[in-house]
Amino acid sequence: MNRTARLGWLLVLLGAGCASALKEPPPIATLQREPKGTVPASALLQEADEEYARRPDPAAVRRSEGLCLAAAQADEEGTAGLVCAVRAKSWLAERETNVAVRTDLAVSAVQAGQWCLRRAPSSPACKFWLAVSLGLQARDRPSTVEDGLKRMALLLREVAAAAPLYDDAGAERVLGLLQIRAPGWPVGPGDSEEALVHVRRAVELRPDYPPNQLALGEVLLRNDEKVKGLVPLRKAIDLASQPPWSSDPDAPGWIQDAQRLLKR
Amino acid sequence: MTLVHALAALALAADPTVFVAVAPGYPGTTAEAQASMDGFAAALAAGAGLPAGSVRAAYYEKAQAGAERLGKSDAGLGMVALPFFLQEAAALKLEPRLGASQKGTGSTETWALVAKKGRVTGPASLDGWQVSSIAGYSPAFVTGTALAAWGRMPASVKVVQSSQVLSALRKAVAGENVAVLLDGAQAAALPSLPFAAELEVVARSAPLPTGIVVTVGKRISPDRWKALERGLRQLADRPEGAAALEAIRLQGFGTLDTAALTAARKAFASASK
Repeated sequence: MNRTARLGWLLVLLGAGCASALKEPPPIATLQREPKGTVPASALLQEADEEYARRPDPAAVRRSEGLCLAAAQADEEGTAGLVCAVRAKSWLAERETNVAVRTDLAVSAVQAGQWCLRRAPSSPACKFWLAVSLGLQARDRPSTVEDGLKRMALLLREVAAAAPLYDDAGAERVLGLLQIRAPGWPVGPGDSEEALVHVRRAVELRPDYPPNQLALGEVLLRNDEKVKGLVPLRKAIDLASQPPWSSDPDAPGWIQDAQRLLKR
Repeated sequence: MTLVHALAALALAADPTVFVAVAPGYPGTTAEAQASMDGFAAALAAGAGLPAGSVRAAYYEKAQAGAERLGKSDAGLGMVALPFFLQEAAALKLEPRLGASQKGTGSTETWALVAKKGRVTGPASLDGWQVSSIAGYSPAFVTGTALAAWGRMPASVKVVQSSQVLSALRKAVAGENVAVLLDGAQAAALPSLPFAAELEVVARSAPLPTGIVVTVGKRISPDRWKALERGLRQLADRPEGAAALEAIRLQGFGTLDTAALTAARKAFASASK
């Protein structure tokens, strides 16, 4: 299950630059840490999912990342391994404090996302995770901000149109968070009113998914709608504290984020 | 190194100087910008021939916080937006020294007053209106300096500070009594908006300095300023300096357009009366 695209990272972007956010990616084999022999892709993916489910253990997510890439090599036409690799790399990059390591993770996530889109040019999953990884890359490579965030917004709009329910309305949610956290016009894609439209749409599509309520609360707070913002934040905590979401490895993080916003 | 040179270097190294950048309403926060400001400070110290760590830098996106930081005794110099300079120069004893050249805009910029097409024919049309601007924290800049040549605005005009420029422009398009004063970068990007055809520029400012490098009172010695001025002027010439400038969206520093600044100060003083 893809339940990690929270964009906890998108911050400054003060120094927006003009370098291209996408470069020719190296071969998939070079993105992989350890060769996995001749195990079938399906088995590798299953194992990768099991490791990923052990979040917040970073070592398990790193193992998951390696297994995903091995699966991407074992099945040279499929995209599941690449999607799973970008997801794992993004999770790790979002939580990594060492800038150099974080940058490597983000850049390799973008590269895996590019390969994914090459294999399946219209895949919403590839577009969504490439968008997320472009945002992560922008955090530590300011020169890619301008181009990267434009591409990110474009990819998310395409996903929102083609697969609105992907990642529990992830495209609308991430687009809303991008627009509320990025610098506003004309420097960046920030637009607080549009952000509200997108996160409301995410909640409309998947009201019971805690990150959607969390995103709505954040956007309302940043639109100076403090009283209205408290309602979705409390709802996010309630949802994350009860089944089925209470067993999600990311649930404690959602609750922590909502509590932090409630204190503002 | 001779004794004289050593003593001079020691004197220049004494007590770190803090460079305070104040750009109210612009993106980023103090914490978010710190890494870029650290890079800028390091490049400036190196360019000025000062020891590493002898210059620190901080960015403020709010006028009050920026003014408070400039008020502290270690804040020796800084770079401020023109509206902030006009508003605070006297109180904070800011001495204009150099001009800052912004990436994409240059060392001067032309502000533009934008309204819904056909609704504003002169200052009198704005009776009872709201004028929104990123520079709204300095009302005399908005009504006086930026629009000095256009004519005097009615006293009923309410100047509002807002970084939510798109929101204000949408209100104008929707027919609300709102006009928006755009800075140079915003004005240049106006045609890119999907609803640009419904808006028009009704007045423009004269070219005004974009950012001003200031020293604060007599907190830094003439020798230290001389070194820092050299460092600032030559910053873009060195790769690390150019990279540091790029990170804060600047091209470099040069001679200030004093004629433009004098005219801006005069118009501001007149509008403040």
